[in-house]
Amino acid sequence: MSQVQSGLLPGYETTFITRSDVTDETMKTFQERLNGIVTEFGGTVVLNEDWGKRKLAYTIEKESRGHYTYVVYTGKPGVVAEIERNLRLSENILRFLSVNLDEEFKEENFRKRRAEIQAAAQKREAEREARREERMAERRAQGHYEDREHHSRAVIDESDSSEE
Amino acid sequence: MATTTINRDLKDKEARGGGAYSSDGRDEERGSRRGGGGGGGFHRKKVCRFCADNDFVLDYKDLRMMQSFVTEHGKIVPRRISGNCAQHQRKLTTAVKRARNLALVGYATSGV
Repeated sequence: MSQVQSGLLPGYETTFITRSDVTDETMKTFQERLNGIVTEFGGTVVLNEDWGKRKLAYTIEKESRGHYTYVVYTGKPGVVAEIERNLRLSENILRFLSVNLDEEFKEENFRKRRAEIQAAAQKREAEREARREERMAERRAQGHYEDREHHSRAVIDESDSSEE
Repeated sequence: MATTTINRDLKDKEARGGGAYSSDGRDEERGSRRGGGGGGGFHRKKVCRFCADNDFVLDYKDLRMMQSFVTEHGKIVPRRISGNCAQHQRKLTTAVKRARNLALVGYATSGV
């Protein structure tokens, strides 16, 4: 790895899955341990997000649900190795994934970009909702139209039979 | 010559369409559709969604986004169908693989 000149630390993100039946207390103590490691390596915890319990796409160690936690932090080289070592030691951790976000991590930029992305995602979600409603309305209108057509055809049939 | 054939056509039409106004209308509809669709196959130009929208970001954590590029069996949708550009498709594969590791997206299964 090349030495960074500006003095900014690299940023990392780690997502880990714990067993769904782990108590909040043990989670808390574990979080504090991770925070301790990060400060030990001269970094800061930028973001600590709890995604809650989710259904896993496949079973891991006979568990079908898991508790996701997402942490973004900075630190000198070696933080990730230390954090992963701790994650590996814990029996409650099912899976973890660490990704290097940036060699020179700027907290402000990260937060700004994140807010932008979230806003865009929300907008998309709203648009999707609107489109769904539109489609529903269209379907309803079409249904009415078909009903009317059936009705008119029935009338024609009746007139035909009367002529005969 | 020409006039007589037109007349005959008219007569035919009259004979056919007695009271059946609706059937005539349907014929017309069909004719117009055939005329409009000339030129064989219909092809719509696909655009890479990641290139088109700067705020549509490739992220293995975004489940909603990931699912739109993965089949129900967990396979990655090929470029020729999704319309992604080469760069983004390459990034997408790594993102899908990360998501698979975190059990957000399933590994490819044979179904059932």
